Amino acid sequence: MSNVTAADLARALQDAGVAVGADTAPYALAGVEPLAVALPTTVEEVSAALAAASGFGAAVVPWGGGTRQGLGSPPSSYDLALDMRGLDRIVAHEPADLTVTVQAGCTVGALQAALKRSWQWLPLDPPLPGRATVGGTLAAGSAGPLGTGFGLPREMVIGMRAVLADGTVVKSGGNVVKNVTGFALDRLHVGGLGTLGVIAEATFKIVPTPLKEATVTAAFASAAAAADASAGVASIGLPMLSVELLNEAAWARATEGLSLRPEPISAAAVQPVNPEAPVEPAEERTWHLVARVGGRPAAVIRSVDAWAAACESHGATVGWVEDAESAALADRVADLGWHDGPPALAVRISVPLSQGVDAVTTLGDAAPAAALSVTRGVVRAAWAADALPDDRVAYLASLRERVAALGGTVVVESPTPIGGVDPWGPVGDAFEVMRGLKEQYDPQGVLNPGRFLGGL
Amino acid sequence: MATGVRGKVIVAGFIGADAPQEEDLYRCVHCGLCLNACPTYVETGLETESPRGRIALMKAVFEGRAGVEPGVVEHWDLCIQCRACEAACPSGVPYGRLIEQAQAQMRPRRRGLPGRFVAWLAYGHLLPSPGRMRAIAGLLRLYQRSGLRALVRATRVLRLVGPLAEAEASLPDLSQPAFRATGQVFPARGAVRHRVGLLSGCVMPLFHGPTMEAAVRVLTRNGCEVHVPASQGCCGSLNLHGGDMDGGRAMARRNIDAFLEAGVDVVISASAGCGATMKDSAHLFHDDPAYAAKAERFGAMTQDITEFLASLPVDPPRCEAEPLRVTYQDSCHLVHAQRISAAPRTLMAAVPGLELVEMAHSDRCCGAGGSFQLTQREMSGQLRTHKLEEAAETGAETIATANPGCMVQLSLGAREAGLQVRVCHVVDLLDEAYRREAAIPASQSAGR
Amino acid sequence: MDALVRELQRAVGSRYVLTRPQELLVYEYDGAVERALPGVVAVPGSAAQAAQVVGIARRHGVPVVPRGAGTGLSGGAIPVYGGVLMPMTRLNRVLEIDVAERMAIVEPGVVNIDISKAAEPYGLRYAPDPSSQKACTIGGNVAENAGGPHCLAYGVTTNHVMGMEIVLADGSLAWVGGRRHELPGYDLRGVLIGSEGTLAVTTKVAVRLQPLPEAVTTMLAIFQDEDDASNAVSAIVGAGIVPAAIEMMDRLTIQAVEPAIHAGYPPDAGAVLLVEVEGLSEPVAEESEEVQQVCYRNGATEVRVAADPTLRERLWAGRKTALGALGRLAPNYYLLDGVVPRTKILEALRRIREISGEYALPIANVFHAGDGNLHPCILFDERVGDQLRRSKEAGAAVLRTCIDLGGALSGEHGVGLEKQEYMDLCFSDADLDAMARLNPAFGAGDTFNPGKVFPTGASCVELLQHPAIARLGADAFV
Repeated sequence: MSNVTAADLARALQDAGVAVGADTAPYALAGVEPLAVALPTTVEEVSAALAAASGFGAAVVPWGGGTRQGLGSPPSSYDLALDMRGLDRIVAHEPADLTVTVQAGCTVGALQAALKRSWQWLPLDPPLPGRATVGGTLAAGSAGPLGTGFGLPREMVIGMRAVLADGTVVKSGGNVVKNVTGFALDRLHVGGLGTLGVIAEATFKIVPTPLKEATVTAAFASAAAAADASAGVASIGLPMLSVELLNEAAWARATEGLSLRPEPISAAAVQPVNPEAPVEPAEERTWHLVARVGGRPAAVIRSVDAWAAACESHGATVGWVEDAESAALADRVADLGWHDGPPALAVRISVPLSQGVDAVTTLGDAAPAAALSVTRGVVRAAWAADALPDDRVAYLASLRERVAALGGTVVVESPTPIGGVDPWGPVGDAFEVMRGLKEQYDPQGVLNPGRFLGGL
Repeated sequence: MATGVRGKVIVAGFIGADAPQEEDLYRCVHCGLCLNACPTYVETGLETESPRGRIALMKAVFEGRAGVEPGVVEHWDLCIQCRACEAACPSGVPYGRLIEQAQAQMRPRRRGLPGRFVAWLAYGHLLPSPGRMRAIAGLLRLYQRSGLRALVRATRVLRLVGPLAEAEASLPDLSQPAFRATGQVFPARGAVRHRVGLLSGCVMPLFHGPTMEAAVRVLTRNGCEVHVPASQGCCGSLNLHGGDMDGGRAMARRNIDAFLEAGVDVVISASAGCGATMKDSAHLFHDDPAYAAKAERFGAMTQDITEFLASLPVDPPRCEAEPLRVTYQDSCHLVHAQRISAAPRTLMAAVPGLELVEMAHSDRCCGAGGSFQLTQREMSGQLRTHKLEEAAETGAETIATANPGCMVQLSLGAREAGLQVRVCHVVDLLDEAYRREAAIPASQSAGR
Repeated sequence: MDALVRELQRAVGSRYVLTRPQELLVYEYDGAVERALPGVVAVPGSAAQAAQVVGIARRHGVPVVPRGAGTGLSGGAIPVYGGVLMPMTRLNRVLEIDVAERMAIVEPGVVNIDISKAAEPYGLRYAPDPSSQKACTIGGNVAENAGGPHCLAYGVTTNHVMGMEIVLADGSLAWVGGRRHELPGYDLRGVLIGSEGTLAVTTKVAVRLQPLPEAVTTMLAIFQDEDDASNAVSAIVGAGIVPAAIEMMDRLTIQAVEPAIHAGYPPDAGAVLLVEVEGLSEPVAEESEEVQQVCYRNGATEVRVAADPTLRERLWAGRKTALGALGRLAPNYYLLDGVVPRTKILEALRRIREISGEYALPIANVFHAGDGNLHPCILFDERVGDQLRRSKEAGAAVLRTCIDLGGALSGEHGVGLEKQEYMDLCFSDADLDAMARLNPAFGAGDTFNPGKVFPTGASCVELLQHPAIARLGADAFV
């Protein structure tokens, strides 16, 4: 632990040409405020700030929009908040190359807005995209619902500039979509929670915006029926963007204030509906499948038909929305639990995908909002402050036990640490290598100390 | 040039006119695309048992980095010469030619009396002489029929001589009548559309007499006048594969003369191995002024029986459909050496009721490879076992192929595995369908 | 050495330990030009045996060089420091195809195309398809982060490998990544893929499978020159179409391929583009129509369209075997793998033409145009004059061109021996130092495939003249 004072740190930063923030309160983590806040605006300033901090052995927490600061343990020491939001430029966007280079502090929302002008997008959908930065989203590493169609954020990164703990700026990859020159160091930083280096700039391969999109919504009596319905459709190669299975609470939050058309899209799918027949009470429909497709209009129409037919044949009531409404619903689904800011408690469960239904149902009634990414076996669940489980420690321990039996892991995300709960759970194979990486890239333990898996 | 290897002085470099040629060797850019096509590589996972590895060893000898010596020749020996690698090679490396030439280098230097004796007997005295072949076959047939076999097997006396027991077990069933039609001309049914010469050869008429008769019937049924020249003999391919280039050429000359004198339009082989060698005659005689032109003409006239029939195309058998589940093993010398894979399938598709179920890796060698069955028993056996496993997975009751060596190997494999499966030639299936046609009574068979 | 051999024989069986000098000869090469003899070859028959081999080599202080099928094109499998060469070719079983999870677990010696063959009955396939896919192994693909024509739409090996079982330098086995989509911890899987066998040896691979497309259409667009074809590539991508593959072959390549494969490429064409679109039948029909229009607008003289599998395969056959077919044009070739942004293809090809003229050596181009992944192929005859030296110099000029245009040294072949001296064109000392720190983090030391990827300080041209042979000395030639 460093004995640096706030004044020393601030002076060193200013000497290095880095602006220092006046207010440390917004950067508090687990009730601890840093000694100082650095506000760099260039990669060079990030480098200078880290060099200055590591000169004191001061502990640094990189900050983006703060939407995911609940991830990981509280830092074991905390001297400097490194606010990256001053690096918010789009460095290069070459539409015909389908690549974009962006600074880490740019918000995902701002980047999407810029790309949209060229009818392109980066298929990343963190919660609160207006606040979430590119760097923070990569450091957190997990995918939103779009992971179904496009994989994890790491799949989109083709190049990166990261700043190591001592201020060294390191480049890996490049500007081209296919590149095996040198080792893929960017893979360490995506999902590395800023513990091996601070992401300063990333280059992505991007994709054309789908010409059309639509979302099929289907209400099922059981999660298993929904999973069965999607298993049949998922295997035929439709242009899926996301397939999420929401519980009632998640569905209610996602659709609040949105008007969703109830009628199915195609005549074929309408067939079983008899206007004279009594409508089954909605209360019994507790699981909502939200399947989003995007692509050429003909493909979208056919996909909607296929989804609607599959869901109806499994006893679901089917509706659909398209284009702007579909996108709006998708945003809500991606935000799950984050609507007004980070939730009081959230978990991510990852299981082999055949265990997905068991994983989402094993949350029990304790989860107000939960969604299963059906083709990925990833469950997101979030609790509002007023609806937390009575005994969080016992609940999470028992959840972890049940998920372990399904062959999966639970990552707990909470802005306030929960005593006795390791947010990451047990370390897996090859942890010694992970420890070795931390020793190699941050031997002083300057970056986000103690926050990552196994206390790294 | 002499090079020391482990203290032993050996002769480096290739010798003689039939040595692998530089221009052929260095066509290989060692890209490795041949590897997975090679049955011995797939079986062992060893580069030493791959086409690329064998060529590397040839290059090493050529460059004086290795000799024609143990550690080199045993890997050439283990090549079945199926030539699957040739079909996979994008650089056009003439591997079949290279390995034959490399093996020819081994011949004069081959150590070991038994090996030399077998080569002397087979290449020098049996294969060139149809008469001696018939005599040997007669003795073996007698052995199998007389009860002597039962006695030998019961007493297990051959166990005392090790490999002899295995050799005895792998003998084909000689209970079928031999094909003795040499010297005859079979008239076409109906108008004569083609005058064809049929290779009788060495092993085929002895081991697979009924197939030869079937070939004659199918050809005549499709308007061919079939000539079986009396002066023909073995095509020489076994000698050539075994590295006896001069002996092989002498036998090839005899057949070239026999068929060219017969005045036929097409020379047909029902044995894919023979056909492949015959088609390549031009190369065999490229520096023989007396035979170069004749060999080229002979090669161009040669067609495999399936290739010829499919090109006619065959008159579809007009018979009742009889359900039959068949799987087809591509004979290496048909699919790789002659690049024929569609023709046999086309013929089988013409048979009413026949359902062709493809096995996995149908174009991978069954391990027969002419004398390979005898000289590389272990590898041959492994390949045979895997082949029969894959054939059995299709649930077929019949395995069809297009080469006598494959038929012997597959029959043996089926017997070993205890499978109730018949092994036959593609033309057997076609013939059976024709014989079910009301118009052709079974008694009116050819060659009897 | 004798003790090492004895221990290896005990570990994998004496049949699978090769020590005779003649047999070592066949393991001195891979698909590229570099050569070096291993000290001994040990071929394990199981993951446990592979781990034992690593442990034995470590104890004896000799390196282990893992090898797949030896089809690599950057010298990755060449044992420059001798030691134990460990071909993984006997580990060639598809262990599991999990249809519900859409994944397969395979051994590293499984040939790339055999994964797709095994998955095909379930309507699935493994997407990355290097041109050597009929021979190359998945273990080698993982080591090199291999690509292939269809990586344009689907990504490269790293995007399709969920996890691996590896042997670390201490001889222990561990899984990185695995069956699940999200695992806490650093993405060790991600850094190992493409680390060219220098950090660990792969003993099992969990790959993602994807549904076979409902419809596939392949188009062969014929152009009078490369400029038109290059413009068409940018125009296709610019139109918002992401085909499964866009491949280009230039005149020289067409001349080599046609006699070998008889794919029906017109011999007088200046360049051909092979464009494949796949997916649901409706969008495939629309996209293939649009691709044809874009090609014609950019000067295509003819566009042939094949939806039938046999005809499509024929159009592809020429592309997939092009490299080997170039062997027909010259006794030697030096194949490069540079990448440029796809909007810079036209300029890159122009500069390559200039370089060809300057060094008086023909350069054929057959490449993944959709990704900007060039494969300039410098044709030469090492027996003639200074052609070998000129070919290396021309290669260096081409690579510099790629970097100047904002590209990279290698798109899919890896750095290996071939490009290690060019790494400083792309990366600073600090970048390379950061990459080098992976080695101690994995505790690898000199155990795995030493002498690769990082610059050694020799001048490029000097090093590329068979460095391995020079280092081994005259005794290496038996």
